[in-house]
Amino acid sequence: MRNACARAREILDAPSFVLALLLLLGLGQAAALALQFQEGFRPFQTAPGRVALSWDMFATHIERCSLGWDPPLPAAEGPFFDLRQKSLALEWQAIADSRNGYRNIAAWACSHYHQPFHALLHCYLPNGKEETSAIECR
Amino acid sequence: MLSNAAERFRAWCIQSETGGALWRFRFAFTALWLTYDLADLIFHGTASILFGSDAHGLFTLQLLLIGAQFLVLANMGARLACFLCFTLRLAEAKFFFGLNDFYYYCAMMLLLSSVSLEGPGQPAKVWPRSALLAQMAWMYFATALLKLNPDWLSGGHLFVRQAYLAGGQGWPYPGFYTACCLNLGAASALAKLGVLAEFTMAILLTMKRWPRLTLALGFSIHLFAALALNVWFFGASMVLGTYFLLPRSSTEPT
Repeated sequence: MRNACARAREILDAPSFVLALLLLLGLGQAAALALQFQEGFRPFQTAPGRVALSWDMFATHIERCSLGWDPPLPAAEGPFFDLRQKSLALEWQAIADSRNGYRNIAAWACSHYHQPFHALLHCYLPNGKEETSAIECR
Repeated sequence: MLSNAAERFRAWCIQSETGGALWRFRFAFTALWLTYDLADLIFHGTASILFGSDAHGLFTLQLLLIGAQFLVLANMGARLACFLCFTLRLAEAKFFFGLNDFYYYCAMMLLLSSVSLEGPGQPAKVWPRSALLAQMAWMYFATALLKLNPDWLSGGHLFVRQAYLAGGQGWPYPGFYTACCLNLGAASALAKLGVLAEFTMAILLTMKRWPRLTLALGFSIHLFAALALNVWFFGASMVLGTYFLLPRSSTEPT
């Protein structure tokens, strides 16, 4: 057993293994960045999309909305007034990246709670404007 | 020439140093993410936003991650435990939340899993520390490059995040900040400054000189992201990397 461990450590410490590991990480991330270009990202022209390992944090197009319900949803843990109730104040927030994402959440609530209500959306847009809309759920 | 490069690479792979920096970084990085996972599990952070999806699967992954990170901290089969952390977080990113934070954790843990560390005073290979710094430098470079787009540079992206935090979440921005910065013009100026700062971080981490300047800049970027944008753990782990991994003096091997 000890010999097997020593042998494994020898293999993992070998320069060829180091090279393989660094190539795997380096090429994987270079390919992710190349994929951003292939999918339409152009500096100063087009925003990137989401590609794992391309490090696109804060670089993509986003929209954020407050989502509330009137009357509140009858959740097991008490009346559910808005999406903020699902969020913690720090770090973890119930968010989507587009108005459609929030509409999907509203649609999920429509199908989950079988009673009429309005889903109210107040959205913040990258052009500096705000937009309010309502979705009726019967 | 090729054999010369191969020889230099081989020499770099076997070069050793006192492993204190790597040891401390591995401990701090793991402790920080263990805190993240414990808080996430206890307060149902990510689980609460699954909207009916497989919460049990996520719960199991979180428990396993917590266990594996305890093993890293206790230095019990730490290399294997680091690899387990990498695998489990990759599964969390792949099947639940494809967050950049999680992929970053994966890259760092994969590199840490290739390090033999017996203790803070014991020798360790030089290359993993250089690779970890290169990984961070690449991330700053890539994210700055991708931010060179109209959505970010116009301030639109920052405006949306901040206006939502202020209006939708009641984020306690100070009055002066709300007055001066929650508009497209100020957000655009901050966004351009952010890109410049990230490109500079990439250069500074690659050069590995001026550790205090690098740390001050990294700390400023991530303190802003924490206070103004509510991003805490990712920034903290980048600052930890800068603090522990950058050579403190020009005589340290890199």
